[in-house]
Amino acid sequence: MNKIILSICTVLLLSFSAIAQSTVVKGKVLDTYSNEPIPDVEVDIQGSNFHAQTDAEGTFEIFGDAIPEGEQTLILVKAGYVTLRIPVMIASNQTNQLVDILMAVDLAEAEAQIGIISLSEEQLDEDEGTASNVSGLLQASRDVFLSAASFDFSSTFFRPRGYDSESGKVLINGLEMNKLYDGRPQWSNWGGLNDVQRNQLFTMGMSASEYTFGDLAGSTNIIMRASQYRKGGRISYASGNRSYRGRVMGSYNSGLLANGWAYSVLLARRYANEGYNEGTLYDANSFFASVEKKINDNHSLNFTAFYTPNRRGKSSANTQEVYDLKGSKYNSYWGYQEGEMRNSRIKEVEEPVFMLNHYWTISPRTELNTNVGYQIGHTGNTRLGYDNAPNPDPAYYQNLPSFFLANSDGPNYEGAYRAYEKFINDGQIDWYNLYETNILYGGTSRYYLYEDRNDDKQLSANTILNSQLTDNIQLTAAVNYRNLNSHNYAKMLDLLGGNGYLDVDTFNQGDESQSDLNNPNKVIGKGDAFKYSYEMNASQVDAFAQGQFSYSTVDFYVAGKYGQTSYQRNGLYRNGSYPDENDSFGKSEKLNFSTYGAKGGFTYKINGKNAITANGSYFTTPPTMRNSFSNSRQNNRTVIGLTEETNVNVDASYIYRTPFIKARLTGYYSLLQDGSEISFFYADGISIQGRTATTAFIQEVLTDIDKRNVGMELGIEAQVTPTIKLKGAAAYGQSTYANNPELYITSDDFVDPQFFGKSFLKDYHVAGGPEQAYQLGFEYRDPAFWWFGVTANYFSHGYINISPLARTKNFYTDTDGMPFADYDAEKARQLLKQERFDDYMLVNVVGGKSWRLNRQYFLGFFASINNAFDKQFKTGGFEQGRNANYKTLSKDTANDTRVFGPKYWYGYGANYYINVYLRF
Amino acid sequence: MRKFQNIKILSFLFLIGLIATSCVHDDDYSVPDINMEEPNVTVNTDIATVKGMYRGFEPVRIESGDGSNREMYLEGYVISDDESGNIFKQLFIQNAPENPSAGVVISTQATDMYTKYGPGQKIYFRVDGLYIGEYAGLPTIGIRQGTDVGRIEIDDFESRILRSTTKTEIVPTTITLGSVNDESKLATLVKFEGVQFPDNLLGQYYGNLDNTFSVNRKIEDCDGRSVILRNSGYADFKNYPLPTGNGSLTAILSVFGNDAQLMIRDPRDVQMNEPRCGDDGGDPEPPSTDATLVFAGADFEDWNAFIGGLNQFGIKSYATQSLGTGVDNTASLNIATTPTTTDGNDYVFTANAIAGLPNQYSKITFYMKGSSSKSVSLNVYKTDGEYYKFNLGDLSSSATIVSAENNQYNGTINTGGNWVQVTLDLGGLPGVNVTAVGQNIFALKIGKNADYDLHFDNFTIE
Repeated sequence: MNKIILSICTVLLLSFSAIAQSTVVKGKVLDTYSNEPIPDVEVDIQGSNFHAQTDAEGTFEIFGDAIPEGEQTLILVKAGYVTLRIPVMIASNQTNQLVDILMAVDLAEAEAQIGIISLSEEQLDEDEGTASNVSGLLQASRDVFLSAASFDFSSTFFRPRGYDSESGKVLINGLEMNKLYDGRPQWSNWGGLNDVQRNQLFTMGMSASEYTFGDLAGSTNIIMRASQYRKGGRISYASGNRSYRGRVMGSYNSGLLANGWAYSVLLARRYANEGYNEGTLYDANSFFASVEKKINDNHSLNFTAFYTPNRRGKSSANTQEVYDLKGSKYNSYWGYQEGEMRNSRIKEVEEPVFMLNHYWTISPRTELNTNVGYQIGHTGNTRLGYDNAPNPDPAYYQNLPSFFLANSDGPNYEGAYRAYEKFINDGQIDWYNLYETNILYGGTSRYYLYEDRNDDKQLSANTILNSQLTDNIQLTAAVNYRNLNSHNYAKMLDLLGGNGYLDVDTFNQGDESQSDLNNPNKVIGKGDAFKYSYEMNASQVDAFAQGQFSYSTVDFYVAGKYGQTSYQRNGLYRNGSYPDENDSFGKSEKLNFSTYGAKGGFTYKINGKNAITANGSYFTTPPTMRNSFSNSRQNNRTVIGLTEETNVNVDASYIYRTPFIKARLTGYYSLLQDGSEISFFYADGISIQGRTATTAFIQEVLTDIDKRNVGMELGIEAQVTPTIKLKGAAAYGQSTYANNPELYITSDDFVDPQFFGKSFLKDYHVAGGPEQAYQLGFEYRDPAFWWFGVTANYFSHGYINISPLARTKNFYTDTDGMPFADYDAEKARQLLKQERFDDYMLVNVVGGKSWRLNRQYFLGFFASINNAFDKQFKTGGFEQGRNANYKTLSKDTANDTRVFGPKYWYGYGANYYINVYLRF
Repeated sequence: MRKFQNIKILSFLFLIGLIATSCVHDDDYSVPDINMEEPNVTVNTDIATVKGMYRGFEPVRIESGDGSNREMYLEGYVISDDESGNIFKQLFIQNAPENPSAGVVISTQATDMYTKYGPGQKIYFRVDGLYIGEYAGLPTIGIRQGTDVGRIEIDDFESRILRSTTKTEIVPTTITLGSVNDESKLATLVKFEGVQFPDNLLGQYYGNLDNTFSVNRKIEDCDGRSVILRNSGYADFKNYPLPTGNGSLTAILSVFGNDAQLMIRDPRDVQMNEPRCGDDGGDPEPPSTDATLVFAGADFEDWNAFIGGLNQFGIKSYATQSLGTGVDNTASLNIATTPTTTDGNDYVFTANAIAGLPNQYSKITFYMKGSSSKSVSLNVYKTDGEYYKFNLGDLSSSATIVSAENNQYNGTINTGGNWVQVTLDLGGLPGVNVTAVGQNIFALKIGKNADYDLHFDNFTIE
């Protein structure tokens, strides 16, 4: 170990001593209008690998022995500014001090970003099934294809290269923000902070990042440092009919003051009593503050805190029957109370983040960035509970016409008509009836509103070293540590007029009905914990190192990582179905996972216009906490057959770039192996030998899942005239299961896990957005600061999420272990065919204008209309778990309208978004 | 510059103003006022009148004249309670809280009616347009479904029922098991005194543990009369053991075809804590002279014969022949363990059937002596390989044991140094293997990790 440190030091010293004879190019970049320094501008010497970034004072220095001399071109790039190319004269072996460089704000770009961010943010934190959107990751990308994916494809839940958001890393000031629970970034933790999140460094796919080993879908580091914001303020108001109706935002940045301090603040509010879908309230506030002190030229210390408490009403997935009766905006989760739409499913997130960042310039070529972050808070998801009382869901299958028509004694037309009338005329939660039931009954609540709650505390720390070892070699190394304590429980929110709640499970009897044998038959009140309570403890340590090598025609990199992750559940309740020591109460087995990985890639610059890049990687990741415990609410049992997941990825691109045309064509292949997934649902048609009942609330555990993503993507942009730009993008991919995973189910209704062997999923499509997407568009930018653009986007090959249980032997096996007597293999194939959604085309229109009021003041306006022709389209859906076997499924599909048909989500119809801002 | 300062200030004010006016309702809702007023209805018919419209066979439409649409309301008191799940989609009402003269059941798709229409609740029910009929003899108001009376849809039911502010206690009518066929008591709440579950149900449960089918359990009085108590496989008390004493039972009197049957609302309707009748409390009836040994060497005098008659698993080493310790100083089987002897619930031995067992059998009798910290469980095998289970439970004196659902070792045994007689009641248990010689007939099991020091002797069957 000491040897390693010694050799690193030697290398560092060598690199210091090398500086003395270098050629140096120095300069300062300022804002054209305000004369304020601009930080984080990428400065490149064209055709070489020499580059630098401006610091908080707008200055940059490019070093190196081999800096090309003579007449060269400097390229300056910064999001929100017009890219500059300026000719310079470089003399070797001396310091070349350039005059101050002025960069102008790219108004169209700045406005497009405003619109873009607001477009995608609302879709990022949707409910089950749509939570995996990665578009948030791509916002910072300037790649033609990825901006199409982020701005125009995201409303369809298109997933670039088939990846979920858990395959992408989001960092803020270098600290990873993906949750240990499910591996996904919790976007609403920084929702509404748009004005202070413009500064994002995006790394496409597995290519080299200077912060992290990365992941398949890429990584984004959002820089939220006070000194990195341009001096000035901004006030804006936005209005739309998507997830929120209104947004107000105000922010101010001091820039780096003469005394070395910098600060930045933001205040924002987003709100709606009802968003695009019925009954979806939105109530979000955002607070941000950052203070930074530049201690001296080598040290800066930054403190950043943000707190974005938000509540939003969720929207239900519905069967086609329900949409046909009530329209695509229908949401069964709400009903009127006190004249207000009260939503029974509200998601609340309040998880403030605090971080301290230290930036140490050890030498002009070496920087060390050390960060400590702490996040504390809760997330809650409310729902209605009901015990020994009818299901309050207005769209419950027994309330719909199809149920009456599917009557086993023949269609009940009268009942169907009554159900039709009632559902058409009302079809919402009857809150009054819930109160009435509780009050007239007079005992403990039969109906109650509660919250599935996580109280999390997470500590993160890391340190990232970046060192330019030689002119050609850059070293990046990082060590990360994270520790999470998560308390999960059900919390009573509203007894709806009842007198307390008796905490027993009415679907079980005797001891088994007790949620906590240590404290049986407890009657709880508002605010109390009940049903389940447990802690999850997780810790993760990992390290990564990377070398980037730059030569005149070839750049390449290699990187490796190693990590340790552990999870442990600590049950706080002794569940009546799992009374044994440490089965539900007390600590679970401690799960430990070791992960490692390596990646490498190169860019071959054929000439100034053509380049080829390729990346390859092989790495393992720990299963997420969510997929490690088979039924964490009730017991300590871990998933049988759980192992680290393995990812193999290769991709190659051809890049063509001239002043007129920018294009990229990429082919990719990746294999994600040994995954595990758990789902919970009520199943009908479970055949277990010796058990007569075929219904149960189950946990379905799928292990050894292999998925394959393969395809191509193309982005092309042509600057036809200085004002007109044409663009095109295409994604052609396939995301499929590559094997037949193992499946077993557990339930508190039967003692032992039931193994069903393989689930025959091979070659079924993995659900999630269209696999093919095509875009054609143009953009017009008038020199008088107004612009507009239109894109036409065509989507196809979207697939439904299939039920793995229905693809096991359970499908054709009766409770006696033999196939059903009337089993017909041909019909079974029909029944199990994966539904492919209809193709559709969406047209989006955007435009804006801005005015310069004086030297400092800008007034801007931006508007977009998405899905201008109000196309109705399905963004996703899933087969209901109720039809688990041939018998139940064939019976259900024999009806004209299926009682347990798949449930779908629909995308937004025509929708708009307008933003007005004042900048100073 | 001044002008722009103003813009800044104005726009900040605008921002603050917008924030202040953009309230979204939080989730603190107050409890709405629930209407508790007496409904304003004219009661113009009653249960007896409606029942009187039924002429037998097909259901009859309830109306005040041919084709009339005049509203017809009757009043009644709810006697059913569907919370436990034993009663399902039925609302039983009678015409008075005490000494009713008529009762009827309303058949509906509605569930969980107990929340609003619990026992004792006075209701008004609009009956015109519905049908009166019988379901297997039970007078029922519902809809017409072919030639049967069917369930009223939930919405229709809810639009017809009105809740009075009156809620009173229902006093069940006390009758005897001799008058369960009295039609005037049908669909009313009745009570029986001095009843008990018969001997052969002792150790059984209210419902069916294996599935959700309903079961008929009988109750009997001390005069030998009995009636069916029907328990649903969905009842949440189905795994409660039946009470073993004698006492009262409150139930709704129903009928299925020619058989009267009772339905309880929940086990609080069953109060049986008094001593049973029929038990004389004296010495148990000893085995008769017809009794024969159940298996080879079942008196343990010929140990080799005993060992030779066991199945392939033989006998556990802690079970030995003990000379001079048996009944009348003969030999006995001694089982002696400490908590470390076994860590599983052991089969001590399983014996095969021998020739000459009685084709008609009623019981197995044996003697035992000693003490143990857990109890003993016994299997009596059937010809199909299945077996009946008998658990001795707590045992200190002679006892008659009836079969149970599964093997249990709960309880302790201490006979105080005396021989006691144990009788396994085979009454009503078909298929015991008295024919297939060489196949299992009898097994003795003990619990794990416990102290046993027991002597057994003279296993006989008759």
